[in-house]
Amino acid sequence: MAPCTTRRRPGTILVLALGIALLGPGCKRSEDLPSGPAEGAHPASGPEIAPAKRFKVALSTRPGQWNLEERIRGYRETFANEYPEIEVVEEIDDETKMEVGTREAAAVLEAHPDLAGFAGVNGASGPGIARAVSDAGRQGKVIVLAMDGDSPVLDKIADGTILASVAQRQYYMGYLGVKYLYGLRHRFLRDPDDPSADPSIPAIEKTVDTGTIEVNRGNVDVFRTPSQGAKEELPLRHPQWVKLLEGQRAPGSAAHEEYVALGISTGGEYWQAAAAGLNDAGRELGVRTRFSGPEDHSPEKQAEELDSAIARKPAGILIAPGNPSILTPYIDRAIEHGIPVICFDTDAPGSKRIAYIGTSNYEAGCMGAHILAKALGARRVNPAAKTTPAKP
Amino acid sequence: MADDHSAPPRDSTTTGESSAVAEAGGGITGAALLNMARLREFATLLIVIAVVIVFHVKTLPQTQSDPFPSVFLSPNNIQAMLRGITTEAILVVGMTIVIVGGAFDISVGSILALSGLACVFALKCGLPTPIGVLIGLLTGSLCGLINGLFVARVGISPLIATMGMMMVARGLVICYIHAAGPVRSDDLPASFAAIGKAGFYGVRPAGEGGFLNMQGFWVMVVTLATVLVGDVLLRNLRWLRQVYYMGGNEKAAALSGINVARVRTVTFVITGLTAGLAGVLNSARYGTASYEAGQGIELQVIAECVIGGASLVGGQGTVLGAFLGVVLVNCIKTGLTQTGVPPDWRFVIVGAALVFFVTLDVLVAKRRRGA
Repeated sequence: MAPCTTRRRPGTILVLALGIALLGPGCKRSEDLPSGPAEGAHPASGPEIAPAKRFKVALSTRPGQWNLEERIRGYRETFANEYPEIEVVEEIDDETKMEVGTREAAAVLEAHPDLAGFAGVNGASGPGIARAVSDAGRQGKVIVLAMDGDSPVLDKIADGTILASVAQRQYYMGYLGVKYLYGLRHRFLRDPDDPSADPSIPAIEKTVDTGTIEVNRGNVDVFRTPSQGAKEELPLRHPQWVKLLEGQRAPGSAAHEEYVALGISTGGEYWQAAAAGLNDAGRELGVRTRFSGPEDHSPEKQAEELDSAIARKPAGILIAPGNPSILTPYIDRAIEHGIPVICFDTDAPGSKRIAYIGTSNYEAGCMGAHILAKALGARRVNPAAKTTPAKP
Repeated sequence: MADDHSAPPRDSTTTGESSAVAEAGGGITGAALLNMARLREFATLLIVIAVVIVFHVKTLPQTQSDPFPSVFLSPNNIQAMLRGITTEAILVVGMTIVIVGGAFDISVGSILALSGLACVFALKCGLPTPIGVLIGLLTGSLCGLINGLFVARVGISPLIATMGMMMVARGLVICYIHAAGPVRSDDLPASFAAIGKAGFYGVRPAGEGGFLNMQGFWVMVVTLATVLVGDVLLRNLRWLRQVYYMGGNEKAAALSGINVARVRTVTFVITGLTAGLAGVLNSARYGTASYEAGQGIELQVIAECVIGGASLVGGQGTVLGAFLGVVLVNCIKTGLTQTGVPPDWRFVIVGAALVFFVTLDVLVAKRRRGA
């Protein structure tokens, strides 16, 4: 927040008088301030001198969304612990809409003429910030960092407005999710927490971090495929997932089996890569797959869809809970009906879900912080700093 | 806002008639100024000025070396705010007309997205930019026509008809993007991108050419022209003024010979056209057509019309007033961001401010009538 200090300036006396009357006691009157140079926001004297902040950055997010808050936490803790020269001066709510992000980012750019970096933690943030930076003529002066690999982000990376993006690997979430569910259903794989399962059967991992990757001008074209480049690199990066269930098929035809995936805010491009992974795994295994979910961020609608899916008794369910509190009872009910459920993309750790496959959102935020800090040229201290573990 | 809509013509303070009468009688006199002060827009303007003063003071620079009077009133920030209100300012033109007529349209956000997509699709097919723009505008108008026919001819409530359109239009955008893949800015001609980015002298590096060369200059010109034309026509065009009569008392309007069904249909077509225009400009600015474009904007636009003096039961409101409502809301949002209010609290403050300003206005209107 800008410090509440006012000074006497020609032509602003009337404005000041009116403003002070409206503002109330929170703002000092100009007469109350000492003459001479205005006081800075950070006093330079005192027993403990904080490290000089050389780089001001801002963050664009949607407050209240668990996964985004984890990313923000990753950014903030990495800056605080490892880059003391970087100060987060503002956090804006872009409502996950480009237009809103542009308007809010423009306001921050004007309030902080010395802003050096701006990072967004959802798919719409980056293009919104980039538009505002271009409009303000500060392209190249403000380093912009984005999240995910949707087309507007890739376009802005290609034209240089966005430096880089932290892309998730949604394809792997869908691909591995169906393989896990199929393996659990046909007892080729077991839940390590299930005491009744045969211990000789390979156990699945309870938490799989599908990782993140930096998209920049050098590799941007690789991401312009339906899987955002993940399918192409799968045999190299995760050969164990390709080999999983190789030669293991259920006796008889499993063509009637249906595996359902329920996303959230599915109208956008983000989920296309996850659906591609889902379909590819389905084809490999010879089963049907169906991707669904509310187009907007509505956990209530998602709960209704899950309820309806449970009634159809699918072979397995993948779900990205929009709100764990709302979805947990439904997930538990599916498990009680004997339907294996795995969370992907976002988690509901308090539920009876069998596993979670997705990005570590906290780590994604840390990664973004390191990329931005490096681009700014910020000095790194205490590289072995231990940040707090991700919140459940 | 007055709440008496029983008999047209309505309270003249909503349309500027009183000031015109006073000026005709004795030039610009004290009485004319008094009448001007009674205009609904004048009250909104005063609130806007008060808000601007507050944020001006709150964002005064801390050192003498700062070149601007305040962050909030710096030329760059004014430009940024003008760019930020373009979509809503265009949408309120159509929305005001339909609200004055006694209805509302919650499909404008989805029509915006569909029109932008239609325009971009035409350009991807190789059609020239003017044709693409025209297709975008026609798509919006067609959606508005469908809304109007269902409301005025079939008799479906505006809420249901426009909600249906909202879902259909948004659904079509999603279907297209899922089937054909995302739209890349490389697929669009440079002439289209120039609509969204060019300054007065064309596309030049930002910072060159001063105020006139600011990014999105022509978008702002089109926006202000749309507001101006909309306001002048709604005040002065006899055919369009029938909307006030229709919104004030639909039965009386019909008995007096107004073709209510036709007038209502046209109001929806105008709303669709303005949504189409906003969609085309939005696509030009961002170089894409996204499914989330305009999502949730409809309620905000309706709220801004009400802040500007439009009555949700019809018969009252002006385009200028609604435009001032847009300016007010966006000044508050920008000011809150620039004074560092945490995002969690901005919704609370903006929502409370909306209710406060409308309440204040209702109380003043009641007192005025009482006096």
